[in-house]
Amino acid sequence: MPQNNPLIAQKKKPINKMRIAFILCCITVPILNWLIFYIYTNFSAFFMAFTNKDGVPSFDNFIRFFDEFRLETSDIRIALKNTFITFGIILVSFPFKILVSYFIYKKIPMYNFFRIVFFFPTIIFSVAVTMVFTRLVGVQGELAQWIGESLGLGYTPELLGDSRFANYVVWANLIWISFPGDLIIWGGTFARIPTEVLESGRIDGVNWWGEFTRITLPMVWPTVGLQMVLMFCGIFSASGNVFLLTKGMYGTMTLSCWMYLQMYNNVGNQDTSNVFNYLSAVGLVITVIAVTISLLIRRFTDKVFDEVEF
Amino acid sequence: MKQQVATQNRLRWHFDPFKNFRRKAPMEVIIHIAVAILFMAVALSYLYIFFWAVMAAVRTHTEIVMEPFALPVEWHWEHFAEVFEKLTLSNGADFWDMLFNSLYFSVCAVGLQQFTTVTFAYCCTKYKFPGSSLVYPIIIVMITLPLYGTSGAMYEVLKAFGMIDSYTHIFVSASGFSATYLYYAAYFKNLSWTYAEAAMIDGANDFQIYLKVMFPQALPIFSALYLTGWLGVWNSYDSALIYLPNLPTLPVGIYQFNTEMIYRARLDILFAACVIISIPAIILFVAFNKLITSNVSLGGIKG
Repeated sequence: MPQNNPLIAQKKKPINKMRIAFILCCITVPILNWLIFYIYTNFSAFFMAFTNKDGVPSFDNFIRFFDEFRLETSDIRIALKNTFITFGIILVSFPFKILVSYFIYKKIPMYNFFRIVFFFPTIIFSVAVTMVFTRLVGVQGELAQWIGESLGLGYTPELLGDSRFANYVVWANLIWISFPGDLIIWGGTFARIPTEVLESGRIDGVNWWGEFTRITLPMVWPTVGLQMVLMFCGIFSASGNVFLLTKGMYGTMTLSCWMYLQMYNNVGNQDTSNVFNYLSAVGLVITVIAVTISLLIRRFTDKVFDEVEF
Repeated sequence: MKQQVATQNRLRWHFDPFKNFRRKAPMEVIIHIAVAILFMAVALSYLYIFFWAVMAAVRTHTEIVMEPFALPVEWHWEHFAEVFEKLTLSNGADFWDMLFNSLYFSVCAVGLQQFTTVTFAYCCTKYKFPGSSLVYPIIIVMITLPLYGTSGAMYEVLKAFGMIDSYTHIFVSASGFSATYLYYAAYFKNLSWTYAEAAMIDGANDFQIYLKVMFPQALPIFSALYLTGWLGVWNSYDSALIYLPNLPTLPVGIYQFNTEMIYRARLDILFAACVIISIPAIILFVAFNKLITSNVSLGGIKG
């Protein structure tokens, strides 16, 4: 019986050493990197949350967080409030951002010009853009002078240095800078709609509105759904350009800016302070809430991931 | 003569901004014009940033402080040359150091990241081995379950590996577990294996098949993702400011120069540097705009 002959069986499935070597070459680096910089780092952050700087187990970080959170004027509370408002702005502006790419895809006049210029805030350093923007809204700018006159203040307010205005300026900056949305993702998605489908719609007498609502939008719906899910999952990352504009001062703090500032201000003295442990504890609390939101969303939107074709 | 007329017609056609209105309904035309006017206002505001930075670069520091929105009285083009000499930081780093760091961390780190990811995605998509099918769901979980507050732990890990303020920091980027994987995996999933089979018959091994047959086919999407990633790293300051403070990249250098300006006020140099540094990114983007915008999509098309 040839099937029972071990020699023949071996011949049928020879061990391809070259193939094994190839697979190992392809997967070793990414897996090692993932194990060290994702798995180990996140476990490490988890344990850091439950210890103090000397590595002694303690719940002090969580106690400090909840104590600070109870204070109405605490940075973390302000940060949470601003993060939700910023997320609301991002959510409301989401459909408009899709429309920006849609109109460019529909080749409105000068669409090629817009397709390039709308990338400028991404191409030019955010540091440089912010420096110019800061001067535009500064006391010598028209806007600050107009606000001072309109409100009858009798002086020109420093918009980014005044808690009455700073948040509005940060949000205005966010809306202005992110106006074009993700042109790469949406541009690529619209470009993949088969032109024959649109052409046949036109032949069947579908007007522009019908084409948008009944052909284009349903076709890109998986991308809309996926982007929405990802947006909700990253709810606590919502932030404007707070670090560069105000460093979180004048009531503009957001959670991601707060976390970044913990690192920025304390790198170098982390051995003597408890800051990394405290940061890990705050991060863990936020992660638990974020994961809950994410799981709830995934529960209702699993279909989105089934339909997705990258 | 015929050729001249054809050229004129071609030029007229090229400069006609309403060429796409021919088959459109009047309402659609009105909406498109209204949207174009709105877009133009936003586009001009973006261009104004660059214009303002150029104007600031050719004025003196005092002029910028006293009248930030005035036009130059005298055009000091020499400020652009001075950037190379005077954009220095208190830690001794000069423009050339920053340029080298920026190029090194953007070109090498992104190159390493993209090549690791594309190779990983190819391997997991085209070869069956234990765990190959787990990568995709793991990445979906990773991107939908964001973890917060881990930067302190990351700093400690990097410190333990000697990757703080070190050129070895690029190895952090050699990760295949990212959203980029999804693009490459989708690409290879749709790429026929017959090319590889043909190469196998010709005696090619798996390394040769990948490097000479399969990877070259993925070059358009690889280039698009590489350029997008490069732009991101070239312009980013946040992680470099924390993990590489003594190896400043250009954005970090400009940020630090701005902070240090209490001691030596040279806004003109600062903005001249911003202009110089933005130019390569703008040129690259304009040149490869179509490549970037037509090769990347997320979520796909239903139908």
